[in-house]
Amino acid sequence: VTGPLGNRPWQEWVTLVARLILGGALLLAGALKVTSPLVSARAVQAYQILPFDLAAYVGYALPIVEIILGLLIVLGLYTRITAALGALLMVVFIAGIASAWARGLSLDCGCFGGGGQIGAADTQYPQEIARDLLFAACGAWAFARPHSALSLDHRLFGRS
Amino acid sequence: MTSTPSGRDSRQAKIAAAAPPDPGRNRLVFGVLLALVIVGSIVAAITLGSRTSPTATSAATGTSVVPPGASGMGEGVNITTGTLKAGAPTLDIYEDFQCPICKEVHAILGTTTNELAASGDAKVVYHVLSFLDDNFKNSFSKPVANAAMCAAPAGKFREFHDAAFEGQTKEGQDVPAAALDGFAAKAGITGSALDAWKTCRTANTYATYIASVQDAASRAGVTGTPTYRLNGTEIKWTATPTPDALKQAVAAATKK
Repeated sequence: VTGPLGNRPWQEWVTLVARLILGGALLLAGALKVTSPLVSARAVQAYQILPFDLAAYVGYALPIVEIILGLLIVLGLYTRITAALGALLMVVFIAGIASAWARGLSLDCGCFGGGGQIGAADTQYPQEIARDLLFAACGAWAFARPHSALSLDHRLFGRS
Repeated sequence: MTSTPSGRDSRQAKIAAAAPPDPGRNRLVFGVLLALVIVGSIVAAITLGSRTSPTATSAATGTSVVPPGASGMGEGVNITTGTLKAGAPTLDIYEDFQCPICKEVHAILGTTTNELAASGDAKVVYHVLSFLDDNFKNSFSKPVANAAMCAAPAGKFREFHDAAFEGQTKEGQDVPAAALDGFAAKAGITGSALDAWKTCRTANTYATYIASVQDAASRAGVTGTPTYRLNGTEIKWTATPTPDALKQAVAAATKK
């Protein structure tokens, strides 16, 4: 038995779980940072990848982007595009963390607030990358199988 | 039996109403509206965020007073008292009064840095940072930093600085006003100098300067404390910092 686009019914529930993991993580990450824009700006600046002022703007914008994207993914609205954007964001994060690691910086990723320099022994680059890989995988799945249980896409637009 | 134009219109309207809405069109219209809201939110977040930057907040309220020992806004306080020897390097120390590791490292290296400053073997410059207040959303780093700068006109900055680290209160909590008075007493600020110190502390005279030092340090790539830089290059401690390691690093950086 297959649904639209060859989706099997159980896959709709896998997509729901993937949506809740990725969307929930983005929502949490954004919510924990949105009230401290200055700290978020410094966390981005600490990576020393972008020019100083541009990094600040990215830091100010990132929490609200995460909240909006997380909310849309959790609600299942425009699942295909928001899941793709969520996965893309995670790939950017992974690249940033890997770059900091490769350059020998000792950073807290600042993923869920905080950030900046920490002791070399306190870095958690492998764990942070593994966690973001999981989120990216959830996004990739929801992109490939966007039809999911309990989604606003179904409610509002039907099974288009 | 021909229907009137108005009758045809109403019949067409009924047909249109009965037809199912076009999901693709709804989806597109709603998506465009959503995208506009999202772009608006991002612009608002960047605008509001920019207003929280240290330079923006202090420019609105602060004064342009720079403490004695600092050569300008954004510059650290030079505590060198001895005549600087030929080829002596500059030791820039970035620290936050709220940072427990800064206290630990100062307990180890403080005597040595004071000796270097007194002998003129190095130009020792303290960059007092305050980003931990933003991280903890409390009031500690900035009031202590201001109070330390308030001790500078009396020639007691270094003494206050050392007392503030020795008597450091708990990270993450607001610094008690009584603690600041204690640091001033321990630094040996008395009489009319103490009155001036109190006025300065209450007026938050150096708020703009302190914000400027934080901003300059961030721009210089200082993302944590304590950071020790010799002639601009960070000292990478192999293990726990030691006075000997600092002396050797200073000797190695001294131009012969």
